[in-house]
Amino acid sequence: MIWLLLSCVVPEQSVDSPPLSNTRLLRRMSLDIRGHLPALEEYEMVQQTDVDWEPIVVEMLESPEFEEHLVHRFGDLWHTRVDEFDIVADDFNLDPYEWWFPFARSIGEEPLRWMAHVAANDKSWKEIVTSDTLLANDLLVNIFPVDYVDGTEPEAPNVNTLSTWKESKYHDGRPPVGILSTNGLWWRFPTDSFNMNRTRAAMITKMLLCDDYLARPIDFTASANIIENTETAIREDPSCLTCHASLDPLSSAMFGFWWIERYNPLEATYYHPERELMGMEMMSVSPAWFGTPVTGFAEVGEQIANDIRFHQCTIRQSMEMLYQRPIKAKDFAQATEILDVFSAAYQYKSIWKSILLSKEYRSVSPTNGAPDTEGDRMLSPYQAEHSLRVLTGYIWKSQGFELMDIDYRTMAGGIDGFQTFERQYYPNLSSTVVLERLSQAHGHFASLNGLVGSGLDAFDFGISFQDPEFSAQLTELRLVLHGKEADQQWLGQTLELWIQVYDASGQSPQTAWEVVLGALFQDIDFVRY
Amino acid sequence: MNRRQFIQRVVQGSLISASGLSILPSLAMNSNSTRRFLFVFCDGAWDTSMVFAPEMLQNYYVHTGSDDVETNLGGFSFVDNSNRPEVRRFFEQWADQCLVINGLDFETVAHDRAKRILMTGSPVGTDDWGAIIGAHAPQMYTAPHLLLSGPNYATQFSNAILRVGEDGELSRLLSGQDQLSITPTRDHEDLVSKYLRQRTEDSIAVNTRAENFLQDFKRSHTQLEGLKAQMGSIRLPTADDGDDFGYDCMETFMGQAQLALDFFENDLTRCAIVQDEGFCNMRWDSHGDYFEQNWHYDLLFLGLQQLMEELQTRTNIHGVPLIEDTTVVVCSEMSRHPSLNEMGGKHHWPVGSAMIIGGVQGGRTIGGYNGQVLGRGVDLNSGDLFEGGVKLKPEHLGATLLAMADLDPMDFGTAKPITGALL
Repeated sequence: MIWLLLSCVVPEQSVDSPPLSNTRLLRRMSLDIRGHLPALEEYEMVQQTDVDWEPIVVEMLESPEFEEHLVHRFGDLWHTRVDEFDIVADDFNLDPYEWWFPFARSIGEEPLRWMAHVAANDKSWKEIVTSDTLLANDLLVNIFPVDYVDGTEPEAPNVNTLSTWKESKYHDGRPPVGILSTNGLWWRFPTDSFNMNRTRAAMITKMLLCDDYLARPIDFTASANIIENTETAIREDPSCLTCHASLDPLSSAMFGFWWIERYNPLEATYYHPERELMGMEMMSVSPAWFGTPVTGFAEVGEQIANDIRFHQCTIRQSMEMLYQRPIKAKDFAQATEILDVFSAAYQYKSIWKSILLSKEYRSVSPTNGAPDTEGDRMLSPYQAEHSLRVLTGYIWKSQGFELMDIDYRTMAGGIDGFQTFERQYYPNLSSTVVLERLSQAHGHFASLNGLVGSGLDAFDFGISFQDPEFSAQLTELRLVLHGKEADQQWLGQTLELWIQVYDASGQSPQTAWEVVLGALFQDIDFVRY
Repeated sequence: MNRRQFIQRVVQGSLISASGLSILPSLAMNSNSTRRFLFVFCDGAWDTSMVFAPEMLQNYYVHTGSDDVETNLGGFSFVDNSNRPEVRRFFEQWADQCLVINGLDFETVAHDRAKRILMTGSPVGTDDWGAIIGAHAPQMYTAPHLLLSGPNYATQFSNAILRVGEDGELSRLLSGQDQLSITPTRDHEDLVSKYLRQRTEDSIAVNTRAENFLQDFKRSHTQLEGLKAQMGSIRLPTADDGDDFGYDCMETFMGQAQLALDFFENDLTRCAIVQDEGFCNMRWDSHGDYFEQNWHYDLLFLGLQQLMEELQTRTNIHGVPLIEDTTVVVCSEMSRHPSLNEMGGKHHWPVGSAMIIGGVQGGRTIGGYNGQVLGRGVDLNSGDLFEGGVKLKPEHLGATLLAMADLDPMDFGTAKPITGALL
């Protein structure tokens, strides 16, 4: 539908925007693809006039960090990385305090990991809804009816060994529908005896077709039966059938995942093949995909995979993700071009590559009439944390929990999928206070342990402002952290801060560098990209 | 010209402007009002037939309690029941401050969507009322919109938001508690703050196209300095405060709302939102037992009673009682189905109610429910029921709140305010 609307709207007038500098563009690409800053030597390679960006983008897309970052990117869309599910760790005799966070993340990432794996490994994107292979870690293999494909046995659940995800398969008879067969997805979107999978069906069309049933207003004035017999109204009243004519047949196909008791871990863990036909009985409709009858949920996966709305929606979501704005009429031509490229082999990376090499992606400022988020993106909590983690090797934790991924995730501008559903695009007091503490923590850790990544391993915290290497070291920091050259004004201001702290701390260069690093981590040129 | 006349003129002006005859200047975006707003959001969908809509007692389709009765206090009617004594107690003291809006059509029966529609007036996009009002204030508040708990939708005006967190997060951040051995010195922080401010000023000077982002960045640092300066007079909730969460069944939303009042007192915030989870934190989503709503309502109104007493006794920095410039918006996503379901509970229903306390024509109910338990038409100018009038939606509630904040609702949507509700 959105495709149709876009094609009918006259594109707005736009003005050409100046492109980002090479170093800022490299920084933007790295943050978008790998989730962290480029290394010093990568910056140095683009400090020339003519840069061929295609091999740079391709190399970044081949990075294993792309897959990891996609987990978080997809999480922002799918909202499965919530902090708690109806089923909790102690339902599986796992210590609720120790396991609360790793349990919730393992469950919530199950569908996201498979999507990221398909995307990063050039599998057909259709496999996200057709595959019988998924990814699991040791926890999931221990608590779900899942085996590793390579035949290995999982270790006993251990919170420290959950980062390894391997190909796996469920062995409880569930249909091969990729992420639509994961417990992680259905635990996040539960249903009950009244809802009968309708929430789940609506989620499928919203996320995979960009067709949101819940955005359609309902009008009970046109329904004669709604008060006395809701089920009759849903089946017979035209105002209800507007949605339910297609929603209910899809819901009817999903009863193998339907639970009789919502909070029962056994119900929620195992597939129920014996219930597959219950939809026809309980909803009085036969399973179908938008008018095409299906014999089961496996066929729904095939229908989605071959539905052009699915492909269009994937492109739309990618463009919105990378442009950080809703797509508009002016994007129609580009979206159509990308669809042509994508349709060759349905490889997700082809979409990203097209967008990342586009003129608009490189623009530094808004087109006419658009909000200036088109020029400046705000770092996500993941990007900020991951950039500093790569640089310093420090992980900001409290009592074993990663603070930027749990307590401070929404305060830093992220999404929890529970009360907050949209990324923050402008800095506010909450995100600023989080970044201040995150920066101070990393600055402090680095001053004790040195910098370990981003090509700054040789950074010397003992260098003082009188030393000849001082300016060079500061200049490298400016380039790596902000993607900018250190001009005289910047050098002067930063030197002044360094000296003020140096004097205030009893002439400690280590403290001066700690505080200056903390300041540069909060700088306006760090926060935006 | 009083506020009603002013708003009517503004609305007329906007209509003319929308039709292409732009003969009236648009209203300035910034508000001249100092009115504060506290949103009390009841999570899960309340049953409006149990308090706000006495006309439902005569409705054949609506299941009501056998001892529910309509009670009238000085012209204000509500549904009274001995199972909900706090409701009566509250209205006996505060009915003249309360405006109930009945027949709000959410056009959905899905929780998440209804919350968004309630708070923004729209199923997609747009910011919530608190963020908009907070972002358009006559002064720069430290925390224009304070999020204690509850749903929030802010993108364009996310710069107005301060999240407190539900587990002492803001307190931990400001105290530096999560940084292991680090205790940042205030001197160093001041130096860094000065440096960052200068850096941002320089950026703004050379980059006018990205002004919003840069200004927000600058503002957020100024707000942070302001918040740190206030820490002596504000006690932020800590993680320990939440240790008994869920165990005290009689804990009202006031446990969290106290902080909003602290911020109001110190002139740090204009809007705040707190979520009411109902009795025992069970939420209001009573599919399984209709009777639970009695407990939720009684606890809610106990909290509202405490809130009004606090607003009466606490003052702002000018010594004026908070009650004089504070509006409380009590609301919930949707309502509950007229009939009992097979489990003795009630499913969702798309037409519900909201209550505004303070700053409006009190002792009054606007809107109503027809025989099909759907909203009745209303004349927005008078607030009276009017056959063929406007079907009220949450966007009208929002437009009314914007008008109360001296903002032109037409700058943020297409709905007109219920001018008949305004003083």
